[in-house]
Amino acid sequence: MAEAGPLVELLDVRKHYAVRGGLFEGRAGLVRAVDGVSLSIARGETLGLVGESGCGKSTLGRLLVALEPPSAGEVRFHGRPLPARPPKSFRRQVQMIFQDPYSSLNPRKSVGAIVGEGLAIHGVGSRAGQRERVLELLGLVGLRPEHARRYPHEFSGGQRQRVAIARSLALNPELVVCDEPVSALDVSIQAQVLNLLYDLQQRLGLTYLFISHDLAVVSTLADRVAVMYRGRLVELAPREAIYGSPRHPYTRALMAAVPIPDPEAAARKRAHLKDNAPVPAAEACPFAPRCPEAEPGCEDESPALSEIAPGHFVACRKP
Amino acid sequence: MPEAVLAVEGLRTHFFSRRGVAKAVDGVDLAIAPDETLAVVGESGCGKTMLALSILRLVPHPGRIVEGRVRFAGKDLLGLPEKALRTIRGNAISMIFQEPMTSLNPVFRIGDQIAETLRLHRGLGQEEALDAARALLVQVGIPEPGRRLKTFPHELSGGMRQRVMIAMALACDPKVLLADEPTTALDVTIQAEILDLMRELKTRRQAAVMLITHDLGIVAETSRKLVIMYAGRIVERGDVLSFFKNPLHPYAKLLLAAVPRIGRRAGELAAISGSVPDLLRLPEGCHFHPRCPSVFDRCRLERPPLYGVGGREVRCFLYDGGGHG
Repeated sequence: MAEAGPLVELLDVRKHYAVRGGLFEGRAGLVRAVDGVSLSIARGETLGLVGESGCGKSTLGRLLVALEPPSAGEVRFHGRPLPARPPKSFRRQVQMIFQDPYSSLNPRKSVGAIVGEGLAIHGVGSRAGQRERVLELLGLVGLRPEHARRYPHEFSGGQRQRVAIARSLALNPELVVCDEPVSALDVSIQAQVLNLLYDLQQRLGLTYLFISHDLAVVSTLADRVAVMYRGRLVELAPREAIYGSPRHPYTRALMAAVPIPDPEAAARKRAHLKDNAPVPAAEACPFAPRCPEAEPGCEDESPALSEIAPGHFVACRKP
Repeated sequence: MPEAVLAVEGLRTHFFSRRGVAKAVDGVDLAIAPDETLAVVGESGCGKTMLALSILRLVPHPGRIVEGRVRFAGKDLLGLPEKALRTIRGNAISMIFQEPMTSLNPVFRIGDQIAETLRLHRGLGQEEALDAARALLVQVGIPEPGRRLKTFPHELSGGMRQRVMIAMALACDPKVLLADEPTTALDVTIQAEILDLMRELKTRRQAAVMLITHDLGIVAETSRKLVIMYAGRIVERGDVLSFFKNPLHPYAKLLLAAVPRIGRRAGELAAISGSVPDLLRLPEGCHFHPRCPSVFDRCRLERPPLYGVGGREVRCFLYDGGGHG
């Protein structure tokens, strides 16, 4: 296991979807959900991925666990390129937790069957061994043994998310992609689940890609944070740098927009972004049409990520 | 302090089913003055949405308002005939819902939808109504209003749709605006703009706003007063500044501590154990006692009333006798 190098890498990965127009219009265009993203995640690290709806962050997560093949580019796991149809062994090593614990659990299966499904599919251990493992997993996420016989509808949102987490851990994965795992939960429950994810990482040495639209939630877990806009990374930096000295105008606008639960932090200036700005030309900076600091020239070139401080990457002409 | 525009007194809205009676709103009092935003804070199932729907008498089946008064313009809305209420609903009292896509009619152009409100409540003709609709779109910051009038809801982004909802809510110069999680479905950058817009319109029209939210960050930025609800009842009431300095109720303290903030790390986040109670199986005594870190014997047996503490109110026995809990 003591191999050097990151656990997973994305090398200039793209995912484009063809969009059809009306019934007689045929192919109308191309959605560049992920448009040339390169990043890596080290073993035991949590990479936070932040962006607004439609920026491609969920698609990126799905590419990472090979739920979808990339249109171009390469996903590497343990330094080896992932084939178009990954082997079953790969499926054991990466898992995903979804946002909505109401739709991600099969309502017709007991919690025990849901958590143990991976074990059964991969034929891990005897039936008795699998049962034992399910109980162990339930304990790990703070549920009780008798919960194994119950059904998802009997649980609250927070408990369901615990079930989903237990399921994701059944096969001892190395990488868990958490896609908005607390967004559907009440505030009082969010903290429980975030603490649980943290404890599990400490105990099991898990690697997380933690996807969220909520900068505050991401800051509680992430070691590094990537900010995504219209399919591209605009900034990538260690947590202290991204929250302490954000450099991309989009990151700064996102930070300024987060309501702070402190009425005395009043009168903060907000960089207002234009809503529904036009889709920029493919070669332009994707953020230029909404950027409060845009200058002539920003429309002409799409800036690449460049390292402005150790580990701090920004895609802007004038960071 | 100016007189309240809207006052809710002793409101109870219960849901009747074979499994029992769910007391979604169970004895709520509140008042909102002109140019004031009152935040109603709570988690899912605490009754905050039912409170707003009760004010407009829009409680869905099998719910029923069983008791209370809603005072507005010298009348009790709960005693008015339905026909009289219709001249107030969507007119003097408007509501903005969380999900703009489901509250707009997908098969009508937005211009016609806003114009319909204006024709119904202000008696305008179609041409005048469309002109007024265009002016409203300008007010809520929608670019190219003339062209937008002809678009359908699905052609707009979430933020634009919510602006249209606000334009409709404002069409008749409401004295009271009930906003139920108006920005929860929106991205943060758009949320900031919508909140600014609501604040500006509140002041310009001297409206009373009831802002329902689960987000304490939004409360801090928009409101001067708040009530916190838990299991159908108000558990804390007061001004926002004192609340953030020194929350009184154990639930409120935990809620404020549990908010994920930049700079706090997982593993050490304050969490509230257990989950929001099932309204059909509420615990005896104080509804919060099974989750409360400060619970003592009395909490398991009796229901606490609201105690006054320095101009604020809190429903907790720790404050019995002026309380320094």
